[in-house]
Amino acid sequence: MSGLDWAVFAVYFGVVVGFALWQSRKNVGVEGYFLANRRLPWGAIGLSVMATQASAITFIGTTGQAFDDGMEFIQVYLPQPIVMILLCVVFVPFFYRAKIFTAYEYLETRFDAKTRSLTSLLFLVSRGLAAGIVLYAPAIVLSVIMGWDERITILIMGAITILYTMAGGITAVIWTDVIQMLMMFVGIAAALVILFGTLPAEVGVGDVVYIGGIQDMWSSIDWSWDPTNTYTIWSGMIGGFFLALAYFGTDQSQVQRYLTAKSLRSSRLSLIFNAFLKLPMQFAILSIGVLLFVFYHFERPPLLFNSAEVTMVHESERGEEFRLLELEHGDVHSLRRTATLELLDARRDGEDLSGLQQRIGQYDGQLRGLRQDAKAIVSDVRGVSSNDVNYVFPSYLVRYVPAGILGLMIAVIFAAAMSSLDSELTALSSATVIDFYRRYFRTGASDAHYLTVSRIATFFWGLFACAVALYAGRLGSLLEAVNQVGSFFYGSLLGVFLLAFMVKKADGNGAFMGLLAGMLAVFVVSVTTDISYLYYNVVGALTVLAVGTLMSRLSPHAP
Amino acid sequence: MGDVDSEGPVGEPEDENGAIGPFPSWGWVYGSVVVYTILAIVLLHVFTVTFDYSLP
Repeated sequence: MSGLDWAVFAVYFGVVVGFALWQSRKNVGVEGYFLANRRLPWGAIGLSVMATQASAITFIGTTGQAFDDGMEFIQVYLPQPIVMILLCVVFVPFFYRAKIFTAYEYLETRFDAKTRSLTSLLFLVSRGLAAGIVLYAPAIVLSVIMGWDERITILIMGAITILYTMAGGITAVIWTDVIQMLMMFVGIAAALVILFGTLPAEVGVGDVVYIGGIQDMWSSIDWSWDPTNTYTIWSGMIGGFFLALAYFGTDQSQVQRYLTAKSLRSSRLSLIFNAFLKLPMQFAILSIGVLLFVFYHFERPPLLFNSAEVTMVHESERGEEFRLLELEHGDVHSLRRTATLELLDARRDGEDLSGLQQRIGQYDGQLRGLRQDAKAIVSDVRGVSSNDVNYVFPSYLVRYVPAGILGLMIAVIFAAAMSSLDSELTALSSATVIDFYRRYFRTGASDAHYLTVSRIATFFWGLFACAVALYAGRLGSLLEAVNQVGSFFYGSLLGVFLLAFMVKKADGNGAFMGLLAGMLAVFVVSVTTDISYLYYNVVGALTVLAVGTLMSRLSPHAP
Repeated sequence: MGDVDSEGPVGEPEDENGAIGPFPSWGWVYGSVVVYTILAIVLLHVFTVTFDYSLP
């Protein structure tokens, strides 16, 4: 990075920390620390909801996925506007009027202490580990692409986020999220403009759309019914609906955001804001990936973008085989480049294009095949599957983006990671203090005492996230297992809340048994079928509703 | 979007009735979100079909 890039980077950190501390100066007590005294405006909350969901991996992984597979990922996001309506109508009024600090606190007022404690504990375990991954994922990518020591990257991101979150609580978090989300908007727009700017001068917008279309990269809707495929309209609208409802409606890192609003109306507006803005943003991020696909028709891409994996394979006994793939990849790419330029000329002259299209299609197929073969070699050498998609966009940034803009784009990746981490730290801290410490260990202490403990809890979870991130590379498949465990109970957690809102006669025992049955059902489905993980949320939620209702009716206390 | 300092007191009464920006009521807001979602799916379908230049 140039001096200008470092200057942009330094300005980002200075502005974020300074703004966070300035905005948090009026926080008072635990309610100020966790809920900003319930007085934040809806626009800030809306941007924070969006920033919390958009982690660094959303930004760099999604673009890479679109580079490989096109726009199909957008289908997972399609039900989110409808989810926002359900949240506004059902979830938010219950939470807001109950004057609670955590979503799980509501479950004790509705059911009992054990249901609250189990749901909060599940949240703490999964989010605690997820916070580490939020730090680790961009750090490892930047270490490969920029040559930075991943431990330094983790510690810088972690330390600054802990500092402003401890000092300013939720107010600092939400206002920094506003800056960070606005930076992400600027980053997305800049990436699109730069990508168009780095294409050959003779290639226009129509040509870009056409080249993407030859390989069906713009395909956004798949109407086929295949429950094993995550990227169909049905998997998105059904499975994605339950996943989004579970995330926005029961995850404390999101619920805490809309509890900070000054009124029920403001809470709802912050969600409606997301209903309208999320889809266009995701569309733009995916478009970056497809534009990269088009860009690399004219510039030669590496066979794999993760240079650390490439080096590892080169030094392995399969190194020679990999080098041959690289040579073949270069040759086929040259042929495709020539054919693409010929195709564009023929298109301008109104000639028949089918022959050239067929050739380009064949070259594309060969290039995809070579990339798959290369990934298979990496998997064989490393023992885990290749995660090359995460390196496509950062690799482009380093190689083609001008000084100053590179600093901005790297700062955007940091912003995406930190805006998710800070939200998770406040959510973890609130669940720890409110659902456990204040509930079981020190009831009736002073507000100042709880505020101090809350800051200590934030610090603890920040250190925990850093420790997980620092050791994540050694955890290997354990991390994948953690992610799978998360999907096992997310739908079940949603089921408990739906039971609370929708089944008047449901009781604590029914909810607790339903929760256990839901997680068991998801586990059984995951090992006996190969349906998409999105449907796990449907299975979990419906099982909890059914078992919870039945057990409540069978309960000896039932009327 | 205002600043924290400019916001009203804690626990101000909920203003659930009346216009929501350009919308006459919450029902209109929710209806617009549903229409928006349907339009998004239709537009993405049109986008998928229109920009599919792959050979049959």
